[in-house]
Amino acid sequence: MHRLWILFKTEFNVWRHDPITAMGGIIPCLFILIAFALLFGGRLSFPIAVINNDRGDYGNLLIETFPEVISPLDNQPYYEVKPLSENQAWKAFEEYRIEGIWIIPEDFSERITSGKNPSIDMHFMNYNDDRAKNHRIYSAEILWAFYQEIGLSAPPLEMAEQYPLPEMVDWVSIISIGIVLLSVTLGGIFNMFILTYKAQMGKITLEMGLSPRSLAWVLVPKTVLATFFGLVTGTIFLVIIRVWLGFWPGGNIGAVWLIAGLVAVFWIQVALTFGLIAKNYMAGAIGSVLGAMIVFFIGGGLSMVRAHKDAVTWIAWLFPNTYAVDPIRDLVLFNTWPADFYPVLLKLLGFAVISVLLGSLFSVRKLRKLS
Amino acid sequence: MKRFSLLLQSEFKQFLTAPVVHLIAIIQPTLMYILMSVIMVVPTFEMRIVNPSSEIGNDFLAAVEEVGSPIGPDYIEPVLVDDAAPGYRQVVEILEIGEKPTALQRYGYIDSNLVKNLRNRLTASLLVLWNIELGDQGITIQEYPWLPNDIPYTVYFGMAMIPLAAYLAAAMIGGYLMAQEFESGTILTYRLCPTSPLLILAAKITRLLITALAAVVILYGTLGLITGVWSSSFLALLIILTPLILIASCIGLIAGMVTRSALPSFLIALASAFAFWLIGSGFGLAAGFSPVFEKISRLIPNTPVIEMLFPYFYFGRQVAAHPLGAKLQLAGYTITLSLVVILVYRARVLSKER
Repeated sequence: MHRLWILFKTEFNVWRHDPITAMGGIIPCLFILIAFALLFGGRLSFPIAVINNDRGDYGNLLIETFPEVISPLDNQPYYEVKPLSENQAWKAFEEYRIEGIWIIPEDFSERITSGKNPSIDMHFMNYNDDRAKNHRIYSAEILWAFYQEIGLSAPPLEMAEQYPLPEMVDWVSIISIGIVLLSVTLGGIFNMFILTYKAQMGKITLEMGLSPRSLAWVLVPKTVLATFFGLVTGTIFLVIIRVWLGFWPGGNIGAVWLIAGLVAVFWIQVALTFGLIAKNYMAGAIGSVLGAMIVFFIGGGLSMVRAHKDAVTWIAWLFPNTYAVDPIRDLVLFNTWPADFYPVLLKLLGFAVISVLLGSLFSVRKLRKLS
Repeated sequence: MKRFSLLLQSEFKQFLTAPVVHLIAIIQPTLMYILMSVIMVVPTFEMRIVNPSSEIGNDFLAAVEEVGSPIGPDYIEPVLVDDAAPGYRQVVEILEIGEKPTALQRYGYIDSNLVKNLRNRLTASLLVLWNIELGDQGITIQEYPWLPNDIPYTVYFGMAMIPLAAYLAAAMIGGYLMAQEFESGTILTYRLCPTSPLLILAAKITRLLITALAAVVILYGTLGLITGVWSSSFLALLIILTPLILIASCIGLIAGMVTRSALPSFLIALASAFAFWLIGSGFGLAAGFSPVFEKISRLIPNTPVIEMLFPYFYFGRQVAAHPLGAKLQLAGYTITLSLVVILVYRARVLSKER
């Protein structure tokens, strides 16, 4: 036990000498969170211009409807009508400073009143199909509200909704939990790098390889410390989210640590193994960090895996992050105990055990070979 | 010129000291694009609908099929179910609420973006029914899209990843190799050699430029093969990317010289590459997001580069509000960082104090 403690202290001292790298789990993740918050956290209303040629009142009524129809995405109107003249509007549209132009014809009110096929021209941006889709389905929201506003006969089917929480969880929060898991993953990987890269640079790996004792004495403290620091980075990130977005797992933090810790153990072994296989340790390090980044993007980092199962590629299912991210969202954002907690835990344990077994096998063989 | 050529050869030989790092830095964005293009957001959404038992329910199902793009895909793929529980996503059930036939959409634990998308699709379906009932009184939206077809998101996403590929390769390899010189002690050679520091830096940057362009070519080819969309001028693409690669090379070299350690310099290259990609119009043109985002995005070199690339992928359509300003901005960044890299080289490599 005393030997283990000495090794722990030695590893910890190595860690203390490279604080910038120890921040590897925080710095890139913080940049990514800020970037996504800027992307999707601000006002996302589509700026448009409305050219109202209507001789009657309905044109103005339609313009007044735009700010009243609120999107659940950001609690802002779907459209922001810019006060532009016709020439300014066309120029702005051509330079993509506005998303679209609605043109209300002069006989709009007259046709509504007399029931003669009223229509509106909608010029809109379709440089990507998602944006074009939004224009089409947002316009339906506007017309739905407008019909009610002008008192047309009731729709044949009314619309109602039920959301399981009093307040809706926003998209940036969903992404932020993906980033928490990325932070634990990168934290674990980077800390493993510090602990092993220095050993490689100082040729201590030679001593390790020559050691008459089991190499588990060397690998266990590294794995435990890297997992611990991975969890510390993840917790720091959770605090950032608590302050910024207001979510905190409360009494469920132990479960969050357990799930995230098992994911970290998997990646730490991957990093260690690749680092040693690649001879040039940094190559393995870079490979595992960029691999973890890719898994973040394809394995539920940006949206809930359960709600988009059909869009998750089979490769993503080969990594524990894809299984772990939604239960963590349940615990942190929705404050509910995940219905699939134990099945997920078993899967994550399986990933961790297999990676530790394979990782140790490869690492020990490599270290002994190097000697 | 001969000396420069020898320096350049020596720089390229450094590939042998870190072949895996080179391969990862060059191929990673392409790999990421291939994987993400599979899961990329598509306009067609599955919507679970409880098997209707009424006539209005069947009419609703017919209306659902109508929602979509006239020049593209349908927006709803109905999935008929018997269970009215929302599960992990949602379910729509046709009920009588307060004696009114109602389409009730129950959501699971999902986020506001998914709620928005599902709500919009339901509203669009119900509007189809309402318009049928209104007959000639119903309002028709005549659509005039900016481009003749709705372009798949994978095209924009791939185009916006090309600057990431260029930046990542230049910054990461530049930072890593520079830091390696300090770690392995070969930096002493630079200090002692009688060659001008400018020539050494020029060789380093030229080599990074060529390496980053290789990363660009790989991603560009993949984008073209996946989407069938090619730039109208390949040469223009390379010219537009050149200032960004110079900027990335300078940032990488500075990180390597300042930290003198491979891991932190890699960290700086990684964090800046992904932050620049995300903030620099990586997911959509900056003008399409919030005004605050757009202002910040315009400070990032990726945004003007993407706006300049845009016409070459999108039928010559311009989106840059200030094309000359964007060019000047890129030139300004390139010149400033080139000067900074020279100063840092003097301070960290040539200085007698280490």
